[in-house]
Amino acid sequence: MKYFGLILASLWRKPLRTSLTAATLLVAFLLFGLLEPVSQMFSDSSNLAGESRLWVSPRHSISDMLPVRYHQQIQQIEGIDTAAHQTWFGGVYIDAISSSAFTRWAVSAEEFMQINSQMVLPQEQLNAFINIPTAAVVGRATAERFGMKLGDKIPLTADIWHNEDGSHWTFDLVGIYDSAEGENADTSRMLINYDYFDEYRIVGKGIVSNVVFTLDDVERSASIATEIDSMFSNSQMETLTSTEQDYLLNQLSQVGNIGLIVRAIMGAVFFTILLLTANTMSQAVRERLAELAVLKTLGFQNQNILLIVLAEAFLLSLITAAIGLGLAAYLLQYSEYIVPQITTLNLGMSSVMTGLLIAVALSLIVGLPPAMQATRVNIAAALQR
Amino acid sequence: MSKTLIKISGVSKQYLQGNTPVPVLENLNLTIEEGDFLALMGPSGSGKTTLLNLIGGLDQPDSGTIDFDGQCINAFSSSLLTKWRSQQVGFVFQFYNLLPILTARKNVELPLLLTALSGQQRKFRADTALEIVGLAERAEHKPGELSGGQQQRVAIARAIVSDPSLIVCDEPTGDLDRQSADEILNLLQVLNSEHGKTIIMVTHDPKAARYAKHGLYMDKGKLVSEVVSEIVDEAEMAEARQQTIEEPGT
Ligand SMILES: Nc1ncnc2c1ncn2[C@@H]1O[C@H](COP(=O)(O)OP(=O)(O)O)[C@@H](O)[C@H]1O
Ligand SMILES: [Mg+2]
Repeated sequence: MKYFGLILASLWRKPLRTSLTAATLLVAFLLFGLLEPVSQMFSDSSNLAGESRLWVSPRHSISDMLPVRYHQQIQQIEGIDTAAHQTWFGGVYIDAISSSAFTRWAVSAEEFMQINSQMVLPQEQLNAFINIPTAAVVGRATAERFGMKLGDKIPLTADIWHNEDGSHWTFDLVGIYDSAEGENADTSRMLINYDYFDEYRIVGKGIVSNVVFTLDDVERSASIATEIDSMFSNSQMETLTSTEQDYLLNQLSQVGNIGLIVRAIMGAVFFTILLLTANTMSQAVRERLAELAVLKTLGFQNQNILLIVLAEAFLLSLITAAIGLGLAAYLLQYSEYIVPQITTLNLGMSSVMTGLLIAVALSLIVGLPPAMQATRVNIAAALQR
Repeated sequence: MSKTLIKISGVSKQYLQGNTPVPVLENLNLTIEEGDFLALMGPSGSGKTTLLNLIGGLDQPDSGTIDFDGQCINAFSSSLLTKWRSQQVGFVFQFYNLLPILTARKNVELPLLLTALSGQQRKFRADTALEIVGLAERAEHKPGELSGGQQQRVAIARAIVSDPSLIVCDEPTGDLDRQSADEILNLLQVLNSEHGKTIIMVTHDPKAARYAKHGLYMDKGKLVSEVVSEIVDEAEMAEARQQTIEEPGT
């Protein structure tokens, strides 16, 4: 590519202008790289096949809850290995910021720990958790963060579930679990015993947030999900059986069509970038029509000129797209720290391809008009200053 | 001085000013020998640049023919003409027309980008051309870091780098001080006498015309007189030209 030096030099004619354009493009592609996986996640049709762990939750609203008897009913369905239930405890630990570092759940301890086999607890700690009503366990991350030790009393202030003393609950830390999924896996949750919690809460006795179960045969996940949902279709609370991720996404979706919102934002960003860059590009070409006329004088053909001007646009947008998408892929590694329950967001191959395609389209839309203008320049007139 | 390089026969050219056609060249005939150094003089607006652009293949005549080395260049397609230009003609302008973003060497290399030469060969040729114009040590400088005379020499290096047989110069010294102008003119003379380049130079500086082998005077789109044929006595010629040109010149 012998024109490379020429193209690079043209881009670098006004370093500030080029840098600003590049920065704008880079931000756009970074944003695309971060948001596209999010919108992808929302638009991915849920596929239960091969899922070994499913969630049963209220079908219509995130504020609804399930009767605890659903747990036993589900447990009895043929093909289900183990079913557990969990209830969002919420509450405040120390203060709002500390509280947001981990979630707190009241669970049916024995089954729950069985289903969540990735949560590893020494046997005697597990026994203590199951047998001591006031027991609590926390993950390694939370224990280390707050300096919690076995035997500690952990005070929680209720915001939903009050007891006879008001809002004050105290639990005994009997276990600290690690994750079998490696160091980066989430070990933040705190678990307490449902039975104790249910006995002492003064409202809403006998209701749970979700029933979670594992299957004997992963091939049957879809049919069992249908069976469960139809089983409760005419009862007091209809259910929706899905994967954990779909459950969480479904909760978010009740806030609004997030996939669509995300796409709309990206569309607006790129349209703005398009206008800005197109303007800058054509200005840059207009400024050097005389120079391009010189190149034509020297024997550069129209297609050479077209190529040189277009290549500038391509170079700028492809380089910024590569950096922006690369940066997004890098940052997405940390997405699990933001929303631990959602499987790590990934910049998939298809998103990268879409990003690069946008870069190509952008270059054409932005570069073609000034490039055409450049080929039409009349040498004699342009040189006549 | 034997072979005819350029033969212009019955060439006319007009421009449109709004809707009214303004004739610039009318039925012009001219023959230029290979190896000539021709100075084209005349008042502003007389059509010198227009004629030069036609000869250099930057523009096409409305009628008539322009033959270059036996080929009728105005019959060429625009892309063929462009290719022909890159091989046969070197251009030198009043305002140098270098690309400010490129070093002298890269500017000189530009026409070679159109050839199949390797990067190494291009650099070698560009350096050779810069050496001929006496600017070898400024190869890495950008135009902004060079004086006007030096920039014009870079432009000349660019004009000769692909070894064309014809060099056309439009007021090459019009923007230079006397000393730089003389250096440029000396250089053109050397290119003509030692490197055998045919040179056509538009100028309205009679002192510049003195460096040429022939002078041609143009007025209102017509060649009105052949001022000089051979420079026999330089001083005398200069005198003569002075008298002829003083009135219409700047
Ligand atoms: N591209 C053009 N469009 C319209 N008129 C032009 C154009 N180029 C030159 N002219 C006109 O043609 C005439 C001759 O111009 P030119 O060849 O540049 O003269 P010179 O070089 O002798 O000063 C002038 O009247 C000029 O205004
Ligand atoms: Mg002129």
